[in-house]
Amino acid sequence: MKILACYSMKGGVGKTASAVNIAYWAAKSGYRTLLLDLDPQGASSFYFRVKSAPKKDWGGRFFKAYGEILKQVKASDFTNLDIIPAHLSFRNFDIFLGQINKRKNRMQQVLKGLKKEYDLIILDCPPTISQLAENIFAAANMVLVPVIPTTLSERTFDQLTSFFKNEDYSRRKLIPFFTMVDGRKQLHQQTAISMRKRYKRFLRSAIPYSSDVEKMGKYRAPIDIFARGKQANKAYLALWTEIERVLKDSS
Amino acid sequence: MMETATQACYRLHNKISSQELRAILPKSYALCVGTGKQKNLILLDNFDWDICQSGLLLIQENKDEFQLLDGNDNLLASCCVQGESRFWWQLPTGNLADKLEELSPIRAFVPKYSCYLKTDHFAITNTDEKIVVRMELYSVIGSNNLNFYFIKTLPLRGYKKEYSQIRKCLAAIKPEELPDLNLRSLLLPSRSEVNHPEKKAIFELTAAEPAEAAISRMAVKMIQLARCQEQGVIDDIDTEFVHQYRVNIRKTRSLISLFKKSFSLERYQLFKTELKSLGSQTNELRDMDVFLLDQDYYCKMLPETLWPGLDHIFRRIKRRRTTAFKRVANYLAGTAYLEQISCLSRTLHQPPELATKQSGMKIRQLAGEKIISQYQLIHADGIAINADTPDQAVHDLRIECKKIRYLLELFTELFPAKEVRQLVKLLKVLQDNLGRFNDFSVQREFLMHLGQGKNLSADQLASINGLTAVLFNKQVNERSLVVDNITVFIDESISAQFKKLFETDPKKGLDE
Repeated sequence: MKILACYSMKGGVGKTASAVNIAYWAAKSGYRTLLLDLDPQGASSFYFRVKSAPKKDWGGRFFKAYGEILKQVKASDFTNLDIIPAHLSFRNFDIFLGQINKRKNRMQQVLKGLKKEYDLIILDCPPTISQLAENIFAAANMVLVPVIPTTLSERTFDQLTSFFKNEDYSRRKLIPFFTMVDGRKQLHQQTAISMRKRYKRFLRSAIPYSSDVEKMGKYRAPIDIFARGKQANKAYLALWTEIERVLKDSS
Repeated sequence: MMETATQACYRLHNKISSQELRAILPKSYALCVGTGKQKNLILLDNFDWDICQSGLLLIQENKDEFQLLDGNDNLLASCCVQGESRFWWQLPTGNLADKLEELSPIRAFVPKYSCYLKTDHFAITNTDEKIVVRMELYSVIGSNNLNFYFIKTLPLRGYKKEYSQIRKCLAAIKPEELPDLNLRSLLLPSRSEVNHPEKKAIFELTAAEPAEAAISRMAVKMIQLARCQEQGVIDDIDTEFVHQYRVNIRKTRSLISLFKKSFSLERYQLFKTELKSLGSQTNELRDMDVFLLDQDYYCKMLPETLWPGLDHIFRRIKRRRTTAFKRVANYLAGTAYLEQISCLSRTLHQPPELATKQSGMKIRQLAGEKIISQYQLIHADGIAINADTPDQAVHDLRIECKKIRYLLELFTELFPAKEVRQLVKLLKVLQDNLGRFNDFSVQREFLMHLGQGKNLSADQLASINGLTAVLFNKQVNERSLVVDNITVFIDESISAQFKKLFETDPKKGLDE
């Protein structure tokens, strides 16, 4: 079982759209996939039309045992793909983590219990650099970072890389890729070229800026369901194919 | 592991449309119709339903694909077929051919049932348009104009409550719940379709039944069983039809002959003549079949250089077989045969004449006596056979052994079954030995007769002579085992068992 996190400190960079479409293609490629929506806003749960159980504080039991997590699993409309929908109580994850021992590895321990049922766990992460984020860095085999080729996003990615270095996390886990790319913008082109030079692990596939990605909210489904032949869909398939290759190479 | 609801399967009493299905769901749910699948399926099996009885299914899908499935619809083997594919050896070499060789080594597989199977997929969604339950509707449109409808509900993880709600709604159409739904339950919904013929006749004999009536009843039943094979012989489906036909006629002949004193002379003569005539009609065809079935076996006996000659011989025999088959098929389909059968049947159904002393004897006692005297006969003949005794005596012993085998098998119902089975097992060892000895002799005679035919080429003669020599060696080898096998069967302990099981206690009588 591999754990793949879609993570960025910055909001609005396409984390959720990427997590949803990558999870969809992974499941379609035959991987028994679980998408864990860690963002209390619950956008990826919304895209898959799943709702969390109305229990008040299940987030409080999240880190207790994997059995607690299993109770929240819901089948998606697609074969091989299950979802753990977000819950408002997930906003308190840092408080819960603050109350327990072995804080950094807690996520890893809990997710380990799912290895019989799933080949791949995809974490849709909230934009935060906190105890929860550190748990994600420890648990994930691969931290996929969507980067818009702009100055601010570049700066954020640099900060993340430094954090990994300072906190002694393996920087090999960090796999960035470009999102919302507008080929007509000179700034996008220049930033992309310069970042690819500095960071060799950038994936070759990039997600173009597309209204089809925005339409996911309207259709509440992965892009392949409503815009099969479109550029954005092809880009996500290519991105998944590349990720799959990296996963295979690393195992 | 998480607790998940299990799928449920139902048989519906009537066809149901998607509109009707939608109507029974609660208003908060919607029914989405997915893409359906349809295919033409033919269920294949041999006359005895051996494949189905072993828990498997042989399916012909869309005319050219054969699939062997297990009870859970898992594909065990498959292949594409072209042309005639009624026997395992006519299929392309591979897994399916190998498995069917085990399941049906001699018999042809023929269509048992064909249908058009339509599968409709439905998704039940909640107000968020999220799928909460899936459903499959199966429509089996049989070529026999009988249609069946089934529904399977499939739960989705995390939607247990919705699932049980929908199952409750289905109760409105009062479906019959089934433990499982697979291709077997779809194609054979009542299970009564697997109407395999009786392999061994059950006569429901009673110990005190008068012999004449009992033997007549048994003969009627066996002639009926023989007649079940007629159509298969006429259609030339496989060689087992004629074989089983002959076995039943032969057993009837043997039974009538062993109990001839239970009938008036006039009746016995009629039975004897008619049964002899019935049996002899298929002799030639069976001889050809046996030889052709052993084609590979004969090939293996000879060096490759002699194969071309052998090939010619087989082609000659195939031509002769065609002629013999036509004769038998015409005979069985003709009026003369029907008259013969109805004459036999009429006489057997007539009230007992009770013209002889034996005719009124209780069947269990009489059968026991016959078995004992037959065993004594084998004992006496067997003791006289040594390594130098002429072959004819061995052949005669084989015939006597066959008679006791028939007696033991036909009257098993009247005696302790387990002990009788053990004796039959023991007898079979001797019979197999004597049978092979006889077969080699018959095969040699057959070949020698063939060798005297006209227009034989040198290579044909060479292969005939080669085979004759190999068969002679095999026969000599088989002969060397005969004395030992006889000794085992006529051993004192076996004699004692026969006595114990079949001898009438003069004080008590066997029938009590």
